[in-house]
Amino acid sequence: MVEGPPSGSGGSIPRKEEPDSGHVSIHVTLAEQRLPSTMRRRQFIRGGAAAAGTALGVSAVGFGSPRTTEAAPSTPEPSDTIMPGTAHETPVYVVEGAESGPTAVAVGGIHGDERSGILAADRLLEWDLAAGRLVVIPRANRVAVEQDTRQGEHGDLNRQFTPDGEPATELARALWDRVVEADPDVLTTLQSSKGLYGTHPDFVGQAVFPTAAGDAVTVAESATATVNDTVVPWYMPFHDFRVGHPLSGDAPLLSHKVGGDLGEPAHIVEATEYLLDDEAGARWTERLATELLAGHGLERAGGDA
Amino acid sequence: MTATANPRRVLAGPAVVVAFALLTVPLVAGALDSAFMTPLAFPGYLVLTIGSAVGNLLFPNFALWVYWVPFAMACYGIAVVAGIGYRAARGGG
Repeated sequence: MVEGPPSGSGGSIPRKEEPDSGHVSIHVTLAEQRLPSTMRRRQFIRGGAAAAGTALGVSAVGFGSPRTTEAAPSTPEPSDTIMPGTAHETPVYVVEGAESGPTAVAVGGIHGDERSGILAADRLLEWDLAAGRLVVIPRANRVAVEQDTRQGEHGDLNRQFTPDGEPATELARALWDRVVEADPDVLTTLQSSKGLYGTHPDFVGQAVFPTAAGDAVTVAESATATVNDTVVPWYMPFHDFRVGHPLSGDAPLLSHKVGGDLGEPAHIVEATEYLLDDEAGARWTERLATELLAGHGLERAGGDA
Repeated sequence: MTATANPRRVLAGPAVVVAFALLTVPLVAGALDSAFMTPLAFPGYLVLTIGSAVGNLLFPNFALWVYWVPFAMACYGIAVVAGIGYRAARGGG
């Protein structure tokens, strides 16, 4: 049950979104014959890839298109907005579960060029919750998202959440106030990196960074193990999610501040952009968020995962 | 390889072309669209990922896409060696 997917006021992702990917038919239907030739070629290639996978007795485990099997997205409306009337105005969505339970906050777009996290946040809006409450801010740094840049008007938003103090900018303060108002039992930021944590020394992709607070580390270990077993294909072993160092609460990042100031568990989820397109990254991120939030008591309705 | 090996066949023979294509094409397809990522990409995936890991360690200021160039060169080298091995196994020059 959602109160809203991306509306016009929420802004959009500048990069062209890929069409649905994954399910392939090698049979050409009348409808497909009317497709532009480039799309027909694309479908043919996908058909060949699928046939090759079938011949090998395997399938592209993590890359099926969920949109071919999921219900069409609903059109939720935001419950409120952050910094209304400004360039930073961005919607907040609240997904209410059927029964009471813990409250989770999910934040996407804290860096404007991390598209898989933004798309993953959009997907959370379609969740049905058995219990609990999910507050989603898909485009936290709307200006940066619209510019497709990491930073917005006042530098890196995720370096402005001063530990034990007032956040450094108006946008960071507004976001922090909204997080505090939500009174979260857990928070997760949905992000991405260009490389692979532990493989490419300067990058943090395919990792979860839990807070030292609460049981975040244990939950992260369980969630990554599940996702690695069920989503990441065996032929991409370096893409297995890892659990990064615990967040101590002494750095000016949102998740740090939640752990340090509020004493609540939080996670930074980092998918990778290395050999993984935005849609696939969004699906993996969403699956990881599902496992993480379930570990903190936020259960999706049956069959929704 | 025999003493009468034709350099052109050694460097660009059919076996070399096929081996190079097997290493590169599935990975390039998977990189362009994750829906195309299949087990066929696994050999190229290992070459690119290990190569970029070493490269990122040595040259941390380089973007990761840079390593597609040494990846292609490495795949060509592997393909030449594979081609030599293939022709040696067949007993041909």
